[in-house]
Amino acid sequence: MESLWILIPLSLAIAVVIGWAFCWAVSHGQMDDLDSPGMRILIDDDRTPRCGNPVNGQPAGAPLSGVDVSARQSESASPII
Amino acid sequence: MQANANTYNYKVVRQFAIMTVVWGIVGMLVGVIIAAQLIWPDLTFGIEWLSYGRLRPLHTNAVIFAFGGCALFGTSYYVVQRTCQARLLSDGMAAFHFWGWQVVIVLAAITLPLGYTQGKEYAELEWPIDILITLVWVCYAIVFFGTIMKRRTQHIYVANWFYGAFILTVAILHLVNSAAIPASMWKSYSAYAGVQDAMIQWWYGHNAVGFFLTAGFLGIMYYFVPKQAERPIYSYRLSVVHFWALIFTYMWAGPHHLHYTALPDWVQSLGMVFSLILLAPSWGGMINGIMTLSGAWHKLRDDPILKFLIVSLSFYGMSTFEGPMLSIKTVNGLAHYTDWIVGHVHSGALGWVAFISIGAMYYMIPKLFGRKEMYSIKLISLHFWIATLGVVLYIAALWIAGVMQGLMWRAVNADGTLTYTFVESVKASYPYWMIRLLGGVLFFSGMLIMAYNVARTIAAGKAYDAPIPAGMAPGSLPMPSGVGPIITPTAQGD
Repeated sequence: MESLWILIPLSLAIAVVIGWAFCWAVSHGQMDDLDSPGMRILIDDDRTPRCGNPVNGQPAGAPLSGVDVSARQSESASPII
Repeated sequence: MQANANTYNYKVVRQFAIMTVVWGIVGMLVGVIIAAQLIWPDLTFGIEWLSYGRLRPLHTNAVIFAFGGCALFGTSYYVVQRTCQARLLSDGMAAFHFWGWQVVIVLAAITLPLGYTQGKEYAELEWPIDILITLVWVCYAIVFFGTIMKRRTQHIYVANWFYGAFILTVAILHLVNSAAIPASMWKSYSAYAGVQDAMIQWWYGHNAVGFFLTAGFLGIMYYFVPKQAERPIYSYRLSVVHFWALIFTYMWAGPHHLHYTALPDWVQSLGMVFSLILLAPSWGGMINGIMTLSGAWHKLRDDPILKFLIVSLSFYGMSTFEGPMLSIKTVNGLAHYTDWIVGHVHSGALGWVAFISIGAMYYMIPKLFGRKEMYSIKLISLHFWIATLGVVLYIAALWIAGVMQGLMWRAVNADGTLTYTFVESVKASYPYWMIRLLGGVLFFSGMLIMAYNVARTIAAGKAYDAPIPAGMAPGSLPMPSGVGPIITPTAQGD
């Protein structure tokens, strides 16, 4: 079963890389806060400007100020509040 | 819109998003044609480059790499930029990625019908195209990981881990499995032979499913489900845990494609055991996605995009239960080579992969063109119901056909002779192939509705590049451990 001479060492090497990646994640604080990242993507405001008129370079604005509920697709308010 | 460093690069996302829809239609049209050919073999008048054997790999490559690939590339570029709050590392490399991939697809569409093939499932493309794929893939990896390194948020959102695992693993799989010795411009011989080649092929094949079609699309799920539901992922901790479990376990499942073949028994058993273990991390993902709707189930009533996303997770759960069951040797003894396997494939491919991609596209495309939402929500709903009906008909027909075929092939008379000839099982399969064809036609029609909806949305909009939020210093978002959601993003970090 000669193909295993490639597959098993390769899979073990990949397992080592996975282990390294996991240790990197732990030591670089990736596991420190597992509560807020789930919320952070919701705070990131990716709505397009009103009336579909894109204004170049205009910042999206602080996500929780000037929230225009009428412009939102669904009627539920921001989940943060 | 001029490209400038204050906006995200949405251009390459737009390009991939549009081609996702286009290639979805092309790939599924070929699927409908080959499904029809099984019923009416003379459908294409014996023209060799339209024959079933030539078109089948065109179908698989188009739906997996053209449709699925563009969906993954487009969404990954969208998600990595938004979650890292950084523009893509290099617009030029991203453009090479897009155009290079389109060239790969066009070359596939030409060479496969002409019969140039390495004969390896999902790896049929001949060596010159394999080299181009490698170049494009290296480019993609550099842009994706480079963008992560540019990030202005300390934490790397979980979706990016799934995308990253998909990118790195597919690179290794491709290099190892496609190793070949060229004999002429369009003909090469695999570096491996016989059962060794089979083992490497299905190590590749199942990891293509596990990393290209699962890990990558879980990346899509982890961003677009919470965004559409406007709720955070049910358990961020679970997402991290099942990510590591999933990527480790998937590597070992390949032998379940080779039960009762010349592959050594112990290798088969290893594959079977790991395939069964794989059920747990897979369902971790399903549960996490579906339970995100906890407290918000009512949203499913009126939101067809959410329907696509959540139903995709249901099919994901089904397929990742069916898969381990099929990996059990005795079950496999009945199901292998039957239509049950094809049914299983399409439960995952249509129910999970296509549905999550479609949902993500309906979320993302309006934003890429400065629109609030798609041109018609009603058409999304129509698409959903037609597509769901199509998938259900497809799968159910092939379950019945598959079990019937398996039972017919193994039926023996009292004197030990086979009860049925093979051709009798073919004849008995016709009604189910008709139903499957109907299911496929319905699904394909849904894609046409989507194309119309997308075209009207783009026509009413204008290419839009969102600005990168300013005024947030790296890591400035307060990250209180275990305290709860962030309320004031403008507060500077300690």
